[in-house]
Amino acid sequence: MYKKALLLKQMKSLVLFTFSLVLFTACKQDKIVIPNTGQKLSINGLITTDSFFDVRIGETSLLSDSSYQSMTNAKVSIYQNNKYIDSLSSFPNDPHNGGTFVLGNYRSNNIFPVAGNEYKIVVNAEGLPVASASTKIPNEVKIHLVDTSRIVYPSIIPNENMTNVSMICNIEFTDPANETNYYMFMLDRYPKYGDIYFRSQDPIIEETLTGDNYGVGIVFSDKMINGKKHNLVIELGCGYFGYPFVDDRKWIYHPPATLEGPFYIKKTFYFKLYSITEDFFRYIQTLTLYNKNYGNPLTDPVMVNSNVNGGYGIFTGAAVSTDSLVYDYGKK
Amino acid sequence: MLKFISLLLFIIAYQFSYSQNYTISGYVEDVNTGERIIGAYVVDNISKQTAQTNNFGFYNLKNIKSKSAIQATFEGLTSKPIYLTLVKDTLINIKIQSVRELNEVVITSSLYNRDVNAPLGITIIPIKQLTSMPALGEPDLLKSIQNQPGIKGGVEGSAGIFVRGGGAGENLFMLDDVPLYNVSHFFGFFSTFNSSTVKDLKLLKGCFPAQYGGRTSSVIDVRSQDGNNQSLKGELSVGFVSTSIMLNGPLLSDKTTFMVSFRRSYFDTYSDVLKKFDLIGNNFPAYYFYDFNARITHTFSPKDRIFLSFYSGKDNIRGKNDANIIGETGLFNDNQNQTSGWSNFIGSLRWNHTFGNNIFANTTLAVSRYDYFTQEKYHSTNQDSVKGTIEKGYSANYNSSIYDIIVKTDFDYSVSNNHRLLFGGGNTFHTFNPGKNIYSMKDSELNEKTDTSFTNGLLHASEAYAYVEDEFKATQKLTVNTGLRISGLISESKMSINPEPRISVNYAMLPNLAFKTGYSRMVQYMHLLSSSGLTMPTDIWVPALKGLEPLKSDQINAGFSYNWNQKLLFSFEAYQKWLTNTTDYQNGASLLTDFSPWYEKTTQGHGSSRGIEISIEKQVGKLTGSINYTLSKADRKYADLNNGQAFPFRYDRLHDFNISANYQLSKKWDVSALWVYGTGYPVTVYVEQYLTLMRSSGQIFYYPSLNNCRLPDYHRLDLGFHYKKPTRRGEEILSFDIYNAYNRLNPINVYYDPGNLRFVYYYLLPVIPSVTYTLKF
Repeated sequence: MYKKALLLKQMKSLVLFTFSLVLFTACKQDKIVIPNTGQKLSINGLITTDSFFDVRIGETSLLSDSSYQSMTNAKVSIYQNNKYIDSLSSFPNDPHNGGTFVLGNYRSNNIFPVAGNEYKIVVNAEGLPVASASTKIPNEVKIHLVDTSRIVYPSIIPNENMTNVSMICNIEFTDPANETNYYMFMLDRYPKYGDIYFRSQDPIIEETLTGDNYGVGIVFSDKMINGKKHNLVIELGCGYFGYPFVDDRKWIYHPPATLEGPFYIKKTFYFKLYSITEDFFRYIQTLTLYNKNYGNPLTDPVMVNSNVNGGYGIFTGAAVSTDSLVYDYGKK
Repeated sequence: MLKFISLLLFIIAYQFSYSQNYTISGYVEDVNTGERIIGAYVVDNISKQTAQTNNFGFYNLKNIKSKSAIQATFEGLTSKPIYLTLVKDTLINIKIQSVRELNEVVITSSLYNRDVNAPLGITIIPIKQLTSMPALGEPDLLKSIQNQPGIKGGVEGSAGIFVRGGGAGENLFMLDDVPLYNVSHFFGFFSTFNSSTVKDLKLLKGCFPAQYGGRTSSVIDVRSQDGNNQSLKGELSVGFVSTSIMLNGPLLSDKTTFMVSFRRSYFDTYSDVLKKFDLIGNNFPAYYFYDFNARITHTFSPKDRIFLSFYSGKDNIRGKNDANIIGETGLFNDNQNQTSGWSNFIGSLRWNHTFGNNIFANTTLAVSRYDYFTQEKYHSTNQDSVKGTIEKGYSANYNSSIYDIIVKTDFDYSVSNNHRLLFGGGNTFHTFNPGKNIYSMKDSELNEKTDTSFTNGLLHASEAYAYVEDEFKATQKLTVNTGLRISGLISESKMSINPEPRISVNYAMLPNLAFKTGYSRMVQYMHLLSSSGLTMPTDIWVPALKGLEPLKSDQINAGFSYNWNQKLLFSFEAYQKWLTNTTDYQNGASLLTDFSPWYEKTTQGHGSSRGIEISIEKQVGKLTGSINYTLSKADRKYADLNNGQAFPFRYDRLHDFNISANYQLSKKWDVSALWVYGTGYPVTVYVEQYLTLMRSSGQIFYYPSLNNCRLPDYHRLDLGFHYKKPTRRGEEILSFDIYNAYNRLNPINVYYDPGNLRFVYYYLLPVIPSVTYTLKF
């Protein structure tokens, strides 16, 4: 059950290998001449069946340009099953980030992505080549049930910021047979503050997402579970992996200002199983490797997967199945 | 009827006249050591017939009259003539003094001319050159090859070689007829070949004779010493990197000899000392490598000899992290160990037999094994005052390996002094373990115990071949070597058979000027998947199975050699090479990216390379050295990499130049210098950016095409000073070497530093002085 852990351990060994070599490396700064290949549009969007249709449009820039070139005057057309349905308007409030201001965000309040439909985006902006991309939203794979159990580890770690309690969550779903499916599993919560971390040693996991605004998640394909019912096991809490499950009253984490008085936390956890596209799966794979390799002089740079014609980025869709759990802890 | 009788009489007369000639065959041996000499020339001064010794020192001289005076020459040294009156075919072993034992001798022979007629694309590296040139820490066989035209070294300081636009996995390294898979120590900075054991080193990079195959870009044929049959000899070398010792001598009688050597690095000793003085942390990894060579040679009769050889080498790196924590409820012990390494093992039994006086045969039975492993062990004990002792732990092991069983026979048949036939065949039974994971875990508190293993499954395949090679001297000026090799890979799921035609033509227009040309096709049934530019142990060998096609190369060559006044040898060679089915990881894929098996993460394409190589050598006199220049271009093209566009090969270098010299100051002192210059290698550099979908990840940097920038030009000066002093039983040598004498910072890669809005070059090796002491006894 620990294949992913094994891969991680192999990576650690690799790091160990290269570490001693890197010790002998040094660096110096220098100017090199970089040819300007011309700016292009970037499109980034994960359209989901549980949200508005919004994407982020931008312009590529040279590395030497420290500021991001936002794009607020682009013409963004959306096609559903090859039929024009709407245009997106600049909407700089990011729904995935608590409505915070995000440059280049475009949204339609009229389109609700539907599983099985194909969507195409065409972006025109003055002085830049036209960029387009299309995606077909996979069918939803439903979470049958979420089961939980609580475990207490020995209090052995002398760190008052950490806890010794964690919760095991079993998320059950059935992978459709005779087709290749890709999944992303994420946890969300309300009230929403900070990231929620969890860990899993489920052997089906192929990539782990850390710290993005969709929540921390795991990504896998159905290579090992094709056509089978699967029980995805994740562990919440326990020290660095999460805050909410605390059995130690010395814990110094400060709850939100709205929750005062005696220690009290009430939260709703949302278990979200995204059925994602192969393009998105490759995007996450290459992005993970990109981050891992960056700055290591002994590895080759990675080109993150893009499905945008005439530009860069990823435009993809996902069907989402959600289950929730209310956690009520402490004195009321 | 009359015609038939005439023909019969003619044949009888021919046979009668032919029978008046005799054949002399045998071995050319070193007079002091009994070591058989490869590539020596044997000349009959009366009939002017010549022959050359093969890889086992065997020669066959035909059409010799009853009176003859035979003499052998090798690298400018000539044996005393042996005067013979022949009444039958005869076996004669000729004694000659080899250069290895006579480093201080200044070569002045007129027979240096033979290099003009050396086959195109084949270079014999003088062993003397290994120790006479500056070294990084210690003399290295592969680094000496890097200075040859057409050969690129990899990353700075590395012992990797890239031949005429070929990849790291396209070189066949043969140690005593047996292939070695990983020839690197310490990430490729040192090779597995212990130079003190090497007798002969041959580099083939084009116009491959049909007897060689299995890789597409080069063959590095290394022959180790048989062992002295006169007395016990040895060599002790203590250097900056490692210490090695080699012993060789007779075993019971002069018919049996042995050679044994051991070399070990002491990086781990350095780190232990530094840890002791708290200069580095206790979790700093400890690293070492070793090589062990052993060989026994027994001569049963003048016609039969066997060789039993072993090689074992290993790299090992170990990290350790221990912690003892006193908690609220008790004592907590935490121990973590990580060990990784890779190892080679070869064992071979070879039998030389001469059938009559004409056919020499070498039969080899060998095993070759390469292993890579990484393991991690974790164990914790909690002496809990309430619950008692709680134990937790896990261990994770990963290993991959290749195991080969090799059977082959090679025949060398001299039809006449002008006509030689080489033929043979063999089979390699490959067993691949592309990766096996074993994981175990225990938790006494949860009362859990788990043992799990994942494996890609063993793959079995047979790689078979047969060849015939015809070396024919058509006229005094024209020599043609034609050959055909048929090779194939057979497994349960696939059978792939490929013809490999070869031809090489030498035309000696003048005694000191020869024009040469040739063509060769090579087929390779194994691919090396590399995750980085370095020669890393995690680079895995995979067979041309599971949808991968064998790699093929077609190469044409043309050139000439000119010997100026017996002092300088000019060589010019042009080549064009086409590679089909080059294999690489898909964009973003590597060994560890996901669960997909290797054949789902790879892509195949093609490549090409072309260039000209110019070489000027001076190997006589007090001042010896060479000047080499290569102008070349190499690229790759894959349908699903770089948007289907061709891109420069990772080790493409337009200009490559080096000049080396060794000057004999006195009988005791010599100095040497090597200066190398090359166009910077191409690198892939992120140049532009856009925002990521994962918003907290910030910008994604991208590059418009693979290998879109070039590093600054590479140059470096190495210096060497050697002091040699004869001792009662041999010689002692003190070598002072300076690598990168003027401390040129040659970048190995470039990255963008977003914090400072600047590009950053990484470089590896500054000036490195070293001292090596060698005692030959």
